[in-house]
Amino acid sequence: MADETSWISHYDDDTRKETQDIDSLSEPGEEVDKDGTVISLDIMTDDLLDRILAYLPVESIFRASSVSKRWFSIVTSESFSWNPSNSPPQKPWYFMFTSSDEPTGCAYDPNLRKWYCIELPFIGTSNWIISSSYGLVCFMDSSRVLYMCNPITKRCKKLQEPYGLRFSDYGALAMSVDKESHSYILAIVKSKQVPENFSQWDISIHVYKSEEETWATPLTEVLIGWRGGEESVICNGVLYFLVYFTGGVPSESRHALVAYNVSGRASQASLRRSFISVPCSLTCGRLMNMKEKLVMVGGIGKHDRPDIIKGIGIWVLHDRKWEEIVRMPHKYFQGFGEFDEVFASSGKDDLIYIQSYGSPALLTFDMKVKQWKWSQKCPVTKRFPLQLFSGFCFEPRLKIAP
Amino acid sequence: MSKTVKDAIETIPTDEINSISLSLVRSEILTKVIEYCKKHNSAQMSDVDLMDWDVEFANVHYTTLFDLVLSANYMNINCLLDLVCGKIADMIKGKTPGEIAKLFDIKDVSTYEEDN
Repeated sequence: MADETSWISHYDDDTRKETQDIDSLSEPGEEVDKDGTVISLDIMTDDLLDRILAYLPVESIFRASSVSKRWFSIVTSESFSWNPSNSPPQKPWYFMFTSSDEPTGCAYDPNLRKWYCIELPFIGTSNWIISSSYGLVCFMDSSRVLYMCNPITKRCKKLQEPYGLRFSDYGALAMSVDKESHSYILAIVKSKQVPENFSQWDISIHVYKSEEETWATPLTEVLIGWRGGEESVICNGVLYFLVYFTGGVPSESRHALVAYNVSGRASQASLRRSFISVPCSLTCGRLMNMKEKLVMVGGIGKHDRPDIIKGIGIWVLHDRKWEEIVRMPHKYFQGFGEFDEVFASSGKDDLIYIQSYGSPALLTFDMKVKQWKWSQKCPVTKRFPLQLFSGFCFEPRLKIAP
Repeated sequence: MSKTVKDAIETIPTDEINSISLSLVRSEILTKVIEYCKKHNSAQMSDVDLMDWDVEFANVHYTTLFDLVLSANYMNINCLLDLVCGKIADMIKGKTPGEIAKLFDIKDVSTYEEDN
């Protein structure tokens, strides 16, 4: 097996040290027993191998899945006897990639503070819109092609996109996986400028149910002076997306949040009536589902120059009101160096990731203990001035397939 | 301790027992198994001492561990099976997939990337 295609590339010396500490009887090369025959672990039956692998801690389980096809099928099978509740809950990982021709990116594991190189089948140079939930990640590219994938097992499936999606100006993607059944819903918010009237936008919401493998379009509406963008998330059965003021009569705020119920059958009032204002003037907003609560990480604009960022804040939505959780301390804000008014941010459970598009520096905020922390240095470095970095947060899970 | 032996004893009439067939177990391994069973059946050691003894017992070449797994499985001795499976898992922990495949001479190491 060639090392270049192995799932894990080690940047952390601790693991090498750990290997050397193990009893000398287990060094590679000593495979021959007293009679001179070589014995392979392949002689174990599946249930014995299952029993052995069930003793491994979670990070070793991920590696075990890459050893061979047989090991992969054992650890990803439904009947694998490893009990995840025996190991501590995993913080979500962050996958970072750069605008180059290589299909590799690096995934950060905050539990062990390690970076792993992962090759995703199609990252390439596309501008991806990404949403993830419960171990699955959905990618939508600029030509509106859709893929559903598990970045750990690398299983990937192309999804049929809704009719007319390729002709939209903006598209936002959100998904939600049902933890029990592993079925999921996808929502796409499409915005298209009305050709005869530039301040009018055709907004449509498209919903996909994996169990039925069909798309439905429960809502279309024309908004005046507002358009959708690329930011949306589903929390607790509600689709939230950001809308942007496009001019006309000057308005106080350039952003607003829209809530749309994707789970219920009750028809809802118009989108315009369900606008929720943002807590302050933002340069950009990033939405995320943190334990089924809507959290927004926003760039705070200056009073006189709302397009220039002066800080970053984190808010949580309670009913239709925002509560401020924290503002990024100045030293972290400065630690990014040059910070554009737009940046990448995503999070899951209790952990939020923030990164600047211009560098691979990655900052985390733990909502539970209210702590800011830089990640370990990313192995990807900036090689030319205009190089861009982006990423997304996901939960590493073995047992879910697209 | 061994369910297999227990079952054998229970099904064969007492006066006909001369030997119980354990043909799949090599004599050196059977010796180790008997040693384990004797130690665990005698009530003389404290739990902590027994755990230390177990660690020593399992500190053998991995080919012996494999034989012990197969024998403990065949003879249905769950506590011994758990001990040796756990020990093999310890040897897997912390290694890269390449190192694991090399150490345990695993064939069929083609991964999904190589298939595509």
